Amino acid sequence: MGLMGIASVMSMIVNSRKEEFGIMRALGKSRFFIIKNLFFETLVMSLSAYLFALILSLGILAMLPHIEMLQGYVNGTLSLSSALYVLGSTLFMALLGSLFPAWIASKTDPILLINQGCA
Amino acid sequence: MIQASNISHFYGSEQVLFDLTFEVQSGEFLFLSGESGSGKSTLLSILSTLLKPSNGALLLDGKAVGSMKDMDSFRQSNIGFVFQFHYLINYLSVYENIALAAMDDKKENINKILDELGILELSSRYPNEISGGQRQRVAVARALVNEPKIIFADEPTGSLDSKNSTIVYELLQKAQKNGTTVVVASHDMQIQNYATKIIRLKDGQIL
Ligand SMILES: Nc1ncnc2c1ncn2[C@@H]1O[C@H](COP(=O)(O)OP(=O)(O)OP(=O)(O)O)[C@@H](O)[C@H]1O
Ligand SMILES: [Mg+2]
Repeated sequence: MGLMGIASVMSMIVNSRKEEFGIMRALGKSRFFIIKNLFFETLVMSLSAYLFALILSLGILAMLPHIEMLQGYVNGTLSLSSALYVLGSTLFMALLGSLFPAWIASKTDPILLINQGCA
Repeated sequence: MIQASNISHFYGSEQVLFDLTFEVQSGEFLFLSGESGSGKSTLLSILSTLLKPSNGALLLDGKAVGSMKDMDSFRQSNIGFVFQFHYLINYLSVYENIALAAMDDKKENINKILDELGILELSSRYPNEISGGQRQRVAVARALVNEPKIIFADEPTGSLDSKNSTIVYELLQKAQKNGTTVVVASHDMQIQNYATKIIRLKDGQIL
């Protein structure tokens, strides 16, 4: 569920930037240039989101044992392998969600991207 | 030089351009005129390689568009555009918008062109911090920066007063005098004074 969400949010972001990609193509930037930039943007964005979420959950886990009310109900640990699993799948879905629509867009006539963008 | 032969275009099943054949020599100033909806913008998009025509062939400088491998770099070094709406990138400043388009050895032109268009002092502002007419001039500056072989402009003075329109036309004319081919689609009949050739469109056909 969460993973599908990542992919669809990313593709929404990319769709809303079609006009910008159309302009760049019109100015003579190559498909490769645009997709490469998007790749790095997605990477930075999803890595920082991941780190933020990781720190937050480690924080919460550290606090749990100290909350009287919850004792005996909730406890948890975060294993290295599940942290890595989440990292890998987050990156994969984010890249899939952003690069796939960008690749489709790169096959469209630039003027159509530009006009779609303002519609 | 632009050579168009038997260009037709359909949007879905609606035909908007009908079998157009014409040539524009290098260094001409072509005025594309016609009523709203006659197909000017569509034809301009096709001539400028931003839209693939449904039928027909287009040669730019003798090279067949469509079979060209490095279309993108051909565009960057040979073609400049001014769109009907300005299409600047909002998160880039005026200067950065132009620098994005500029080839490395043309970046030194940027300030000179901004100055000629009277917008040098706006160079660090963002597109949403300047007026419509100023944005249009930025778009003109972006089209001129690479000193392209062909400039396409769709209503380049749509939101400019007559004083600033004249500045834009004179800049386009100056480029033309230096050998650039200029193609302008517009409702503004003032362009007749600058044009060396006029094509009138009506319902997708040349009159
Ligand atoms: N993306 C599109 N999809 C469908 N029809 C379109 C599209 N763009 C233009 N048309 C139609 O094609 C015809 C020609 O449009 P075009 O924009 O080329 O006219 P124009 O001469 O530039 O008009 P204007 O002077 O108002 O800018 C019009 O009937 C228009 O409705
Ligand atoms: Mg138009």
